[in-house]
Amino acid sequence: MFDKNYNMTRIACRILFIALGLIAVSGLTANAQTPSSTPAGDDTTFDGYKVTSSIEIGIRSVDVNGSENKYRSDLNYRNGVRLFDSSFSLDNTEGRRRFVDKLIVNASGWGADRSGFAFINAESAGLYKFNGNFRRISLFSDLNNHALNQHTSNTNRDLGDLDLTVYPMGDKFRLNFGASYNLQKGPGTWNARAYRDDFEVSVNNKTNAKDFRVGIEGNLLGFNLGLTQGYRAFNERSSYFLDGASIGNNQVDTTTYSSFLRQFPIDGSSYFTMFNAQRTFAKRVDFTARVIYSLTTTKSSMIEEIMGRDNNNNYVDLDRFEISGDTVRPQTRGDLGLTFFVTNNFKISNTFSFDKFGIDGGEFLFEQLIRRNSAGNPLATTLTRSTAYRVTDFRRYVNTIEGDYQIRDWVGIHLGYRYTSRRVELFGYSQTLSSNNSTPSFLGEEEENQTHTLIAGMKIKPAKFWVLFWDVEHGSADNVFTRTENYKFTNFRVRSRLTFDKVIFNFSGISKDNTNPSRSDILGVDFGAVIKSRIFAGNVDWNPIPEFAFSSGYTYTHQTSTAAIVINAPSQRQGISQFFVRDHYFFADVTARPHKRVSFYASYRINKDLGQGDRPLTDPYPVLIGNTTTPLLQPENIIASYPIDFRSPEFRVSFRLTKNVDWNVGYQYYDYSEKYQTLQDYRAHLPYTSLRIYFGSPDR
Amino acid sequence: MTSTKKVKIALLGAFILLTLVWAFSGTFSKAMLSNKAEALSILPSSNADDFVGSETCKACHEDQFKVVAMTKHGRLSEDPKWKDKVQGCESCHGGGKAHVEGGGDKTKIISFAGKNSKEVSETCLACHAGRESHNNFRRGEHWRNDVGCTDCHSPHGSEQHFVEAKTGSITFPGETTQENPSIATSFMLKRSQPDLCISCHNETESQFTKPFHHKVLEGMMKCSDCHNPHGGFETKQTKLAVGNDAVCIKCHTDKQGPFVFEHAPLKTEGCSACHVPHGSNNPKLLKRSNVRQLCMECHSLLSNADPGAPQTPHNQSTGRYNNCTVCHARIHGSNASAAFFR
Repeated sequence: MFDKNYNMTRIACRILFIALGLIAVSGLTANAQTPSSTPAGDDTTFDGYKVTSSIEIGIRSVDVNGSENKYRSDLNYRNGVRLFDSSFSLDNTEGRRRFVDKLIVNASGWGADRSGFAFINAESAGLYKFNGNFRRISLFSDLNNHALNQHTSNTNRDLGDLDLTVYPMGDKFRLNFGASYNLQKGPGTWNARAYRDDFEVSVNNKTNAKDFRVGIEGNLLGFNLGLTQGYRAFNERSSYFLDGASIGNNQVDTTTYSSFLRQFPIDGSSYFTMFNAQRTFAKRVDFTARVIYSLTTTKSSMIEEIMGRDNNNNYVDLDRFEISGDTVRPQTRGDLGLTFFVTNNFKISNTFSFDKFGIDGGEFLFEQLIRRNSAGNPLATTLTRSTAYRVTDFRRYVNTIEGDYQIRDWVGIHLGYRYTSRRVELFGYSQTLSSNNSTPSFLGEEEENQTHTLIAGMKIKPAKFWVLFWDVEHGSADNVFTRTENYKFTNFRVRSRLTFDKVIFNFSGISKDNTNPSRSDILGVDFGAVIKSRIFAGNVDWNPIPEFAFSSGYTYTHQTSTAAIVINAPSQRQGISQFFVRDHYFFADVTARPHKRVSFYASYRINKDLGQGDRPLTDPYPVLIGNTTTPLLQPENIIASYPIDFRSPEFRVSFRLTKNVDWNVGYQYYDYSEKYQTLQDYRAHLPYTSLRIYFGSPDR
Repeated sequence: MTSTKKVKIALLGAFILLTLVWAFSGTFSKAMLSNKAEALSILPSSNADDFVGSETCKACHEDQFKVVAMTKHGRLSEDPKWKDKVQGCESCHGGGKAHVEGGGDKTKIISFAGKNSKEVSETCLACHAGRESHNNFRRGEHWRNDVGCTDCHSPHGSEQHFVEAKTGSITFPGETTQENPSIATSFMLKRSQPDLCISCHNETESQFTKPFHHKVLEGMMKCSDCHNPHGGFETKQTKLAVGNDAVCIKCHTDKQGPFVFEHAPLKTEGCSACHVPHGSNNPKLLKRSNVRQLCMECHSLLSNADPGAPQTPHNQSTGRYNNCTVCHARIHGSNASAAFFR
């Protein structure tokens, strides 16, 4: 849906690409004639600072065959100039403290990448520390297998975090100041709904959030204490509109939009106060406490105007909604952790957490509906007033007690038990205010549950080069609202890491078994969900000589989820929902330097999900395109997976032109294909060339 | 004045008052390790005469001394507030006098080579405990599995700091190198994130290479943006955002709410009830490739798992109703529609 000016930028990029290549080749030729044997040295200092810098500026070209929208949704690498993997650092080499002892700036991705970042770190020992993170991401989403391809976006999101810590009295007393921003804007499409039909509409997305933090940390009466006060202001100013008349997704009814406009400003604020304390008593008891109180509020006022025809073929001259909402959410969280050092090798810990919040929201709706019948005669104007009120009350206690015993330096075990008690209550009412005798309709639900979990684990170092971990959790989770998460579960993890002089082997296995018994009172049957997942991963890093490194790994993810469901098709029927993942991931990277002026990198990555394999395809991603619907053979069953093949080979060759300049040439290829829908397949070619300029690096 | 405003003013007022009381009480300075004798008490060897100073160590351990000198640990000597305290090598290894007089006798100095991770970590915590982010280390997943401070941090400074950059991917920023020093030297990590974390949690690499993923390998995000490796009170050691919210809300501000009409799982179960946070083949990082499948696994007339989760009245054999979020577009919560239409 978004038209790209790729052709122009492609041509420009290729010209730049060739130009940079020619410059680099001429540099290489010139350098070959007068080889420089002077090492860069590691003593590049300016005014008492050691300066180290490496900046890579490159040009990438992109050529996509197939679905450009899917390519951009996945990758969104664009034609053009980009800054990549660049850094700059200052280190104070004088033996005295200066206002800036250390400065680090690291940046990558600015320009033609989909995401760019810059990290800045500046500090002076014992005086202050400053961290700044700046990020930008170009979010593109245009997928034909999600929401009828009607939820799309092409937005930029800018995020930043600035944090300053000052030490007026050393590390034992600190003042923290912080600020963050988060801006998102850009066009997209969304859905609006009226008269039993839904319509794709355009949207100008605009959200904005700003955070401020101030805090103190220090030591008082032997306690390490911290107190932080924070504030966030956020708002949304997205507007929705229709570019032209639309008959909507339901193409067999009479509903049409001739115009649509929605303004939906939302303003919110969040205040929070966090207090934390920690002390270790007599090297025997470690005590930690934290209390957070937050108060978040939102206010909204929506105006929506629709013109067109309704599902009874009446003319809608104006359907105007004014809806105002006001919601508040106070939340208190308290945590307490205690560790008792019974002996140097045996510790008992207890962690208690308390969480409570309430959400009180109310809205008021006013609708003015002006219509004419299909013959054009006016109908009575309808005025509707209604109100609704909703409350969510939540509280949870979690207590975990664990014992940890270091049997020998090479072996330790732990054993624990976790108890959770949770209560969730929902209630509210809705009321039409148009008539005098309207009565509110109330709703209310309450759920309470307790869960128990056993925890055990061990770490062994059978040899100096070998570390082996395993742990297991068995019990029940406290998700009373959903079945997609686990109820009764057994999670097992094992990790093994073998580290030799020049080679490292790393293996891990994760197993999760979840069962979720449920009962349908309406059907009068017991049914449930069983979810089993297994992940096996292994990789090797081999670095036999400094000039050669090889790294490779394989991960297999196996998941089968089977859940009984009740489906209306068209009457209520019991069916099965099954979802399969059979994902194989493999990668291999090689780095080599066959000559002191030439090095290369090659990599191959493949992600191949076989999905449900040969199982019958009863429901292949039903998609409504026009009036054509994928036939559903057994509508009560949903059997799904997402078999894909996503592979990406790449290489890069680096030529050292001078002691401070490298010329890089690279190429990356992406090949994406889906088994059930080929409309989103793509192949992308990304040639790349760059210059990397070093400053102050050690002998190269 | 509304009650909400009163609460906000009271919170801010209490914070300012406490800050002032604290700052002017002068008591915090008394609690500091304000003299050498007190500072020495954290070490097994607490006699001031047992210390010889880092310059003496340098005579034999010059290479290590050079690396340490560039780190924050090495710079403490430049801080006037540390002048009277133990600095340098002996602040962790204890007094070196006996070691020196013994001709480098390894049994007469604290060596961490043979100690288990928890013992090593206790030495670090003698100074580094007390920050909110570190307070739960002794109860965290890493501690529980015997992963200590020096498994991730290099107290002497990263030895790889001076390794030359390797030619690497044109997509993912490189590893710890001299030319790319920032990530490595931040927090004195042994390797940069995410490579450090993936070196144990190797299964996550495949998740971050799926078609939809958070941009971790690309360097825009770090593992520590969402997780606190030092432990925490939250599941999976995730961080909190804006006080009490899930860490996802830090960036996804439009999901923060509160909404007049909440989709209950959003706040009570968390984002991961429906989404896979690291990466997925499925659009929107959903747990299922098919949105209605995800919805129906809860909205299925269950009696013990679905307060307020009505079953769909729509005929699922009609393709039009197979895409729930086309109509229920504000599925995370709405301020204008109980059915999340707008």
